Amino acid sequence: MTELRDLEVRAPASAAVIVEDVHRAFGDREILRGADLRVADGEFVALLGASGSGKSTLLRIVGALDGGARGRVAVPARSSIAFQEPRLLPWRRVWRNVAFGLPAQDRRRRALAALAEVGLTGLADAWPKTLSGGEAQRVALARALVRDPQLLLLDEPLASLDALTRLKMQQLIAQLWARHGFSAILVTHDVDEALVLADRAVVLRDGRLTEELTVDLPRPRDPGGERFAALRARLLTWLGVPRP
Amino acid sequence: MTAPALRELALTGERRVVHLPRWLRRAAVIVVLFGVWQLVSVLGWLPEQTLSSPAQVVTAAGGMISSGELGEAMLTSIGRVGLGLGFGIPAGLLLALVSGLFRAGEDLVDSPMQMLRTLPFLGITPLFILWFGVGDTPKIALVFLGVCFPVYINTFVGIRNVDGKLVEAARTFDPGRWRLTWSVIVPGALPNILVGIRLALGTAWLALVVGEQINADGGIGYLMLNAQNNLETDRIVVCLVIYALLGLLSDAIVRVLERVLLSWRQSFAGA
Repeated sequence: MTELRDLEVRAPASAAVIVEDVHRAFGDREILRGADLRVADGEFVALLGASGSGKSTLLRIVGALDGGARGRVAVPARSSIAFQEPRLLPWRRVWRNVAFGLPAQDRRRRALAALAEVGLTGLADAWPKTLSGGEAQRVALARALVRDPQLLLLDEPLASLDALTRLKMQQLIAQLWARHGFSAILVTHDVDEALVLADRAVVLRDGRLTEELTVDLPRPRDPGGERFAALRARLLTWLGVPRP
Repeated sequence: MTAPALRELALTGERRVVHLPRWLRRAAVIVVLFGVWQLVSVLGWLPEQTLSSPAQVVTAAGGMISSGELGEAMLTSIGRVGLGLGFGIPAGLLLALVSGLFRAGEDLVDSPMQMLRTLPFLGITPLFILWFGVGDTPKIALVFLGVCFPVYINTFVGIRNVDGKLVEAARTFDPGRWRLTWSVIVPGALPNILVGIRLALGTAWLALVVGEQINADGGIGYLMLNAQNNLETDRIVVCLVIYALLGLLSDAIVRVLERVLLSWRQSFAGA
């Protein structure tokens, strides 16, 4: 609890996301029971927790997809979400998916620029059905970033990818974040992923954010390092995974 | 533990299979059916009064074509069906959009549609004649009815079956209601909409037959009614074959539409 308050003192005015005392129940089940979270401008926060702990619910509330919560939530004007499935429109070519929702002027150029950033220039005119999982998810990322969001919400975007693709995508996300400087909240099950990408990792348990860990390791993060291992062990313990 | 005994697997290498083109296979089935029909007639198993042989049907058709009556009847019927489709498909689509996109719309529109759709053509035709007089209008109105409901139901289902996750994701990019409807929901519903159109093309003709037989003035149904009254089974069969061919043609049109509009799909295409 002390750590959270400290953060408030450190960055009171430049908050990108403010979540105060948020409650969300679905019928009888109370999922969030007073969640508090502040994300500073440009900060990358990883949100961890056991299955069913309410991580996705909290993210969806922040992403304005779920209005049925109580409490206070303040978010920037421009935010984008990337989901676990790419959720591309199958009847539109890749670049048109990226350009979806953009004003007509300059649309193709902006879409191509976003695709170049994720390394998919050659697939601009492809159909979504021809893409691999990793490629489709990269298109989804390009779509999220093309409109230059102030906040990027990531709901386990790499969970359905194979392990190698996941590692490459983590590096890509880190590069994009470094280049654009948006704030980010990443919901993930993967402790290593959280430590590779985030400035801060918070744990959701019993409907509240109960633990938090500042990841003050130099970037790019090295999963083989000693300090990394120590942080990993701490997070795993908080998540209830016993040491072997 | 000792190593297991091995057995040799039979490997065939890559097999080269020769495939007949699809349309040839489908056409071959029809040719075989006609061939069996002709054979059965020639062998005397199928008496002439029951069903004419294909050869007799072809002769009768030849006569009807050269006299011009078949061409004229087809033009009349196709014109009526065309008008019925031209009004019925947009009407069905519009009603389904109102009903599918808005829950209030569904409450308003759906029950009346479900009630109207089971009204029998045979029963309605005299009513239409009373309202619209004799002539083309009651027939076009019948076709309109026959077209509107399959389009409505299938479009409605298509709209409600659009993947909610896609719509949710699309919404996060602030597209506005118009773009959400026409860029996300309608394309997502398109496979079902085409099913509705395919069915509508069939019921259009079924509805027209009834109209052309009860209030007979030109058209294929009229030809068939005359042939029935004169017990000319060969001419009756000519008309039936025309309907069958129109059914096949309608289906072909929809298949072309599907290939053009739905090439983005990656669904099961048959084993």
